[in-house]
Amino acid sequence: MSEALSLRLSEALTPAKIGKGVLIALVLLWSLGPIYWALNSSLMQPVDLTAVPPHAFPPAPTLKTYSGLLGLQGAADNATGASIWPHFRAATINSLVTAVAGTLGTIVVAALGGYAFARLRFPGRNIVFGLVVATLAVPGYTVIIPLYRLMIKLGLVDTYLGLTLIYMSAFLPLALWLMRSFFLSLPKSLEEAAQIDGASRLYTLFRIVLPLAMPGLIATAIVTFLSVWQQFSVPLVFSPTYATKPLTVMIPELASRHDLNFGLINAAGILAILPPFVVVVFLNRFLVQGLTAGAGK
Amino acid sequence: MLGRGISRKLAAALATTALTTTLFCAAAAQAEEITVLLPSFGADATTRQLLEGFTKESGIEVNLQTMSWDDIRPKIVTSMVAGTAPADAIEFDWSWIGQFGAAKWFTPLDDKFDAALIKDMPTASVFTYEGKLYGVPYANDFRVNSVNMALLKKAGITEAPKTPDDILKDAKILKDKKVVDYPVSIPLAAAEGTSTAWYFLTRMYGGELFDKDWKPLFTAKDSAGYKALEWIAQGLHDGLINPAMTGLTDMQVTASFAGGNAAIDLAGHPYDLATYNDPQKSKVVGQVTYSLAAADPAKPMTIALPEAMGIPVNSKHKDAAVKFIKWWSEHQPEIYTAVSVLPTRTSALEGLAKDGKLQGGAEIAKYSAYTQAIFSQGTPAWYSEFSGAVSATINQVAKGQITVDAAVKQIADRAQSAQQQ
Repeated sequence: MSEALSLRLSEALTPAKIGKGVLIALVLLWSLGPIYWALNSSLMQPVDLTAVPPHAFPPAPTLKTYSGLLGLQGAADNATGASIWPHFRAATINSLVTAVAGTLGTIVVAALGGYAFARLRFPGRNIVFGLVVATLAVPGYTVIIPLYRLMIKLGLVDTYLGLTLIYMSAFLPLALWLMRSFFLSLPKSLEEAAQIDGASRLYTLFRIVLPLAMPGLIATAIVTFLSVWQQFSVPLVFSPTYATKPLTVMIPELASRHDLNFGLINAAGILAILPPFVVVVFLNRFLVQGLTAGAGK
Repeated sequence: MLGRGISRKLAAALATTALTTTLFCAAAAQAEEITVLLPSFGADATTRQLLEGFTKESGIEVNLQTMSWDDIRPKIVTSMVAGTAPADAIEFDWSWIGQFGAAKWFTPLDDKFDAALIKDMPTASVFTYEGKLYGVPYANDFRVNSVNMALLKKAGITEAPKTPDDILKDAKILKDKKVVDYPVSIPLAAAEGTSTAWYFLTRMYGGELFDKDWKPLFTAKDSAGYKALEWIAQGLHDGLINPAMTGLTDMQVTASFAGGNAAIDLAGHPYDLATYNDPQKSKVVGQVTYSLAAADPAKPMTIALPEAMGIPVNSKHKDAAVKFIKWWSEHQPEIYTAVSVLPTRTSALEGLAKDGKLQGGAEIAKYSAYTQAIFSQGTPAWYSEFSGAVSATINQVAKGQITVDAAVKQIADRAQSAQQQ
C-alpha cells in the first residue's frame, strides 16, 4: 500500500466518520432487519421456520406462500387447501380504495382550509386553528364508541363513505397544519401581484398558489396515505366484512386458533408493504421538501 | 260510468299493490339473513361452503364475519357498549362469561335448546352465570401434555411422565443424555396462554385458585398454585426450559415443538396433533402422543377452555340465530372433519374417535372427561385483569426479575384489587 493511499484512508476514516457509519448501520439494521426477517420467513418451507438456531437464509426457498396468496395456485387456506386469494384481493382493493379516498378527501379540504388559515383574516382565526390542531391530542379510541353509534344511525358501517369520512376527520388536523405551514412559507408578493392584476382570491389560489404548493400537497398526501394504509383499530370496528375490510385486519386472521402459518402471514405482510413503499420511493423528494417548508417560520 | 271506471281502476291498483307487497314481503321473509361473528379457523372459504348446508336446510342466509382471535373481544365490547349487536350469533369465550353475564349483554338460552343436547356438552356449565345459560359450546378446548415419545425413547424412557415431578426428572435425563438442549416447552410470554399453563399446572397439583369467597389459595408454600409456579422457576433454573420461552405464546410454542425443539410440551392443545403429524409443518410426524400428569396419578385433571356461541340481547334475528346454533351443534362431526373445530358434544367426540377420524382420538375422548372449569365458582367479571396480572407476573419470574414468593403475593394483591374495583 502506498504512503499516499494510507494517508488518504486515515484522513477518510476519522473516528467521527467511523462513528457515523456505525450509527447508520445500526439504524439500517433496526429498520430493515424486521423486514428482511419477514421476507426470509415468507420464502421458507413451513418446516424450516421453527429451526433452532433459526435460518438466516431460506435453506430451500419457495414461493408457495406468495402463489397461494395471489391465487396462482389454490393451496393456501391453512386447514383445507381452499384458496384465500379472493379475500386477499378484496382486502387489497379495500386498502387501496380507502387510502386513496381518504387521502384525496383530506388534501382537498386541507388545501382550502390551510390557505384560509394562512392568508384570510377572520375573527378567531388562531383560536379555531388551535382548536382544530388540539384534536390531534385526542386518542382515537376515546371517540370510537360514540362514532360507532353515529355510523350505525347513518347506515355508514362497512361502507367506503363511512371509512373515508372517519379518516378525513382523523387526519385533517395534521394535514391542515402542514398545509398552513407550507402556505405561510410562500412569498405573499406573487399573490399581491396577481390581485393587483385583477385576479380573484380563488383564481390566485388555484392558478398561482396551489401549483407552487405542490410539494406541500404531495407531502401531506403521502403522510395521510401512509396513516390511512396502516389503520387497524378503525377498520377493526367499522369494517366487519370483505365489503370494506382492509389488509391490516385481514392479515391477522391468517393466524387461526389452531394454526400459526408464519410463512403466509409474513408473505402477506411483505405484499402489504409494497404500495406504501412505492409511494414513498417515488415521491420521497416531495416528502422532504414539503415537510421542511416553513420549518424556519 | 266515469265513477265506476275510476273505482275499478282504483280497485285494480290497490289489488296490484297488495299483491306486490305480499310477494315482496314473502320474498323478504324467505331471504332472512343472520350475521355470525366467529374467530377465523384459517379455513374461511371451507367454513362458508359448510354454512351453505344450513341455508339449504333452513332458508336462512348466513353472513359469516371472521376476525382474528385476539381482535374479536374489542369488537364485541365496542359494539355492545354502543348498544348494537355486533352480529346475531357471536363468539363467546369461557373467560368472558363473568364480564358479559354481569353486563347482561346476552340472551339466556336455557329454554331454547333441548336439555338432552346441553347434557351432551359437559362444558356448557362454564357458560352459566347466576343460573342462566348464556352460551352454547361449539369449540372444545382443554389442556394436555404433548410428549415426543421418540425423543424419550432415545433417552431410555419408555412411558410418558405421570406426575409434575416425573416431567422434571425425565427432562433432566433427556438433557444429561444430550437428546435435546431444553426438554420442556411451556408458554411464558406475558399472554393468556401463560396464565392458562399455570392454571393447568395448579390442577396437576390438585388445587384450586380461589376459595368460595374468592380468597386466593395459591400464596401458601404448600398450595398447588405456589408449587406450580415453583415448578416453572425450577425448570428454568435447571436449564430444562428454554429461557426464550419468555417471548413465546402458546401457539408459538406449538410451532416450536413441531420443529423437534423439545420433548414435552406442557399445556398443549387437543388439536395440536394435526400440526405435529403434518409433514409440511412438522419434523416430529408420528412421534407425539397426548398425556396427562397429576401429583396424584390416580386423579388426573385438566382445565376446560371451551368456546361458545351466544346471542346478543339486541339481535334482531334471535330465533334464526338459535336455529343456526342448533344446526352447528348437530353437525359437529362434519364441521370437525372440514375445519378441525373440536366437538363439544361427548357423543360427537366418541363417534369421531370410533371412526378413527380424530387425531389422538382415544386420548381426547378419555381426557375430555377429566375437564373441569378453571373457577368452580364461575368465571368472575374481573377475570381479564386477573389473567393479565398472572401472565405478566409469571413472565417476570421466568426472567428472574422477582422470586416465587414475591410473585404469588403480587398476583394475590392484583386479584384482590380487581375484586374491589
